[in-house]
Amino acid sequence: MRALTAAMWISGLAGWPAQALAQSDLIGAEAFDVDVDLRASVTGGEEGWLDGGFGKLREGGDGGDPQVRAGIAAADVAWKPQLGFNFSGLVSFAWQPDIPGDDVGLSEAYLKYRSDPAPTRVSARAGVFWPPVSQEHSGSNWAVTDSITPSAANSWIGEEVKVLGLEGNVEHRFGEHEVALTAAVFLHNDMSGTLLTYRGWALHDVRATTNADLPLPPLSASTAPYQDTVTSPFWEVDDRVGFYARADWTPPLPVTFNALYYDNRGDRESSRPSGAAYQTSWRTRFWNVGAMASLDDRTVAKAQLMWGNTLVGPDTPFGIPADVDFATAYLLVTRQLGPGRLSVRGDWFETHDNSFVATDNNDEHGWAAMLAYMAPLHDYADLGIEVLHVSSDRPGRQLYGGIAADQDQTIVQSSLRIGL
Amino acid sequence: MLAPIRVFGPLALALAAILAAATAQAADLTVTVRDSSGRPVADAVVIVDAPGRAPAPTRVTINQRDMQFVPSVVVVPVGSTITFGNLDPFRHHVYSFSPPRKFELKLFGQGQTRPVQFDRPGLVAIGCNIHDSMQAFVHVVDTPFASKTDAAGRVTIRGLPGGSHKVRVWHALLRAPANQVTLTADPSRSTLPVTVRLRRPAPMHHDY
Repeated sequence: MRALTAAMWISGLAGWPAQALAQSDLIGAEAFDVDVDLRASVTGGEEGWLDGGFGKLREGGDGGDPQVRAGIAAADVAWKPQLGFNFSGLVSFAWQPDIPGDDVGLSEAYLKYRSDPAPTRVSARAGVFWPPVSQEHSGSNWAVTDSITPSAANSWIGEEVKVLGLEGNVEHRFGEHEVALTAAVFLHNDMSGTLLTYRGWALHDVRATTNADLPLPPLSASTAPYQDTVTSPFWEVDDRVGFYARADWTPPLPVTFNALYYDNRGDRESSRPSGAAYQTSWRTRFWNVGAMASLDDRTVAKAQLMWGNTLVGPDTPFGIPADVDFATAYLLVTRQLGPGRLSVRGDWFETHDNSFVATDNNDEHGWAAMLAYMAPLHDYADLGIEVLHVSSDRPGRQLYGGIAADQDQTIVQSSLRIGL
Repeated sequence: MLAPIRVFGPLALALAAILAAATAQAADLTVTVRDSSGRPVADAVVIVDAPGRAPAPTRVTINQRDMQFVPSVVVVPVGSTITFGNLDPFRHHVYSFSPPRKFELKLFGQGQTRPVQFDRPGLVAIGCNIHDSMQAFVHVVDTPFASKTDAAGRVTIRGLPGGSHKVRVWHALLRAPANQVTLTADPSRSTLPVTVRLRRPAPMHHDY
């Protein structure tokens, strides 16, 4: 298994410097992106999850008192060499100062091959990347395109579903229909499910880096001896290869559909000491179904439905220590308005705990509504303004955090994205 | 007093016939393209299949601005040169794999230009290897009777020889084989209204 890990790293990373250096324009200024996101916000409600609370947003209030914040939300540097017509690469690093601990880390690093344009086109990539789930992220810094904050589904992908993988793709045109099939094998996604179980769904644009340790909220007394107070989404513990497969279909209509199945094949009994406790490999499987449609020349609708299950711990006569079903969906409509785009989105989410609920309750349900306007200010700057409200009921807040189970939280924020 | 009439009458008739023939040989045809909702269709290419000598080559510029080719459709005579200019603050990698003109302009940045000559007639589809959503179409023609519709969906093809001609109408989103329909122009009319069915494209897939 170490050999496979090494092969992924080598093919994805070590293969290109020699080729890259052979072409001097690959290291010129235009091969690099530098993006800085300046954020100002007012947030109410409970303590934020990055501060160790159960909050559903990137930032939290102070026990109900709104908090005003301003500063750098993220700074990204990306190298995106083009190696001839068919090969390209991406290496990106992110600094996210509100992540506790290592706030600088590797975001993505992969080598990509794509064949020449033809009715059948193949592509492949190898390295560190996010699986192709989100319909809301794009670009070398995996930025949210329609708003400041992505949906609950894609917030989770950003924080807990990053892989070191080998991915292949074939696209084919059947008359006016386009079909694409994608499949991948991967490692380094053993912890996927930890945040989703113990904190629940959240809506934020924090992206896991390969070395990020993300905080968990207060744990139940039965869980605390076995689970560290942080999770490291990119850790590999069990050396088991996971996989995902995706199909895309674009009919001769202004709509495109996709479906993905993901299984990290985690060995839920493999653990590694971490802090005063452990981090254990989770077995996480999910489906994601998405659609995008042009409603008219200026309006696009996007929707995703995601559902799955995550498990950790051994079989016991009373069940598996953590056995949680999860599901979420959103509908986003974005319309060109003046120089920018106005987007409105509704999210629904829930988790259902199937085991040991009396001692470790991870049930949750909630919804969110968002209104955002994103407009270009200049070639090098975009301004976004967003209002996002989330409402959720999670008994664990009361049982393990001493606050009301039912919480509402609202953020009003602006984002000035400067790209160099 | 009648003698002059007898003399000039046949001459006048002959002149009138010559003028009529000349007029017939220089007819103009205005084609108006609308979609099935009655909205004008811009950037539809109209080519009339009539004998005529290819015009002289020209020079045209297609810029890359805001991740789009501007203009995205051009009609040029054989031998013309198109200069690709990048106005975006990032690089583009312009290419075509179309048989009439295959080429590749490796990464070039803001303010830089690259010329390409088009020596064979036909349709050349152009893309950017970095940005899949970018598309342009160059119609290289060896006839003087070709142009594209304006914002009102209208184009006038001038100086057509007399007789009945096939008229080809092409649009990138036209729902027909090869994105093209063929009609026959009525030689007694100077206008040709055309209604086409257009595809509305699906939103582009994201790059991940």
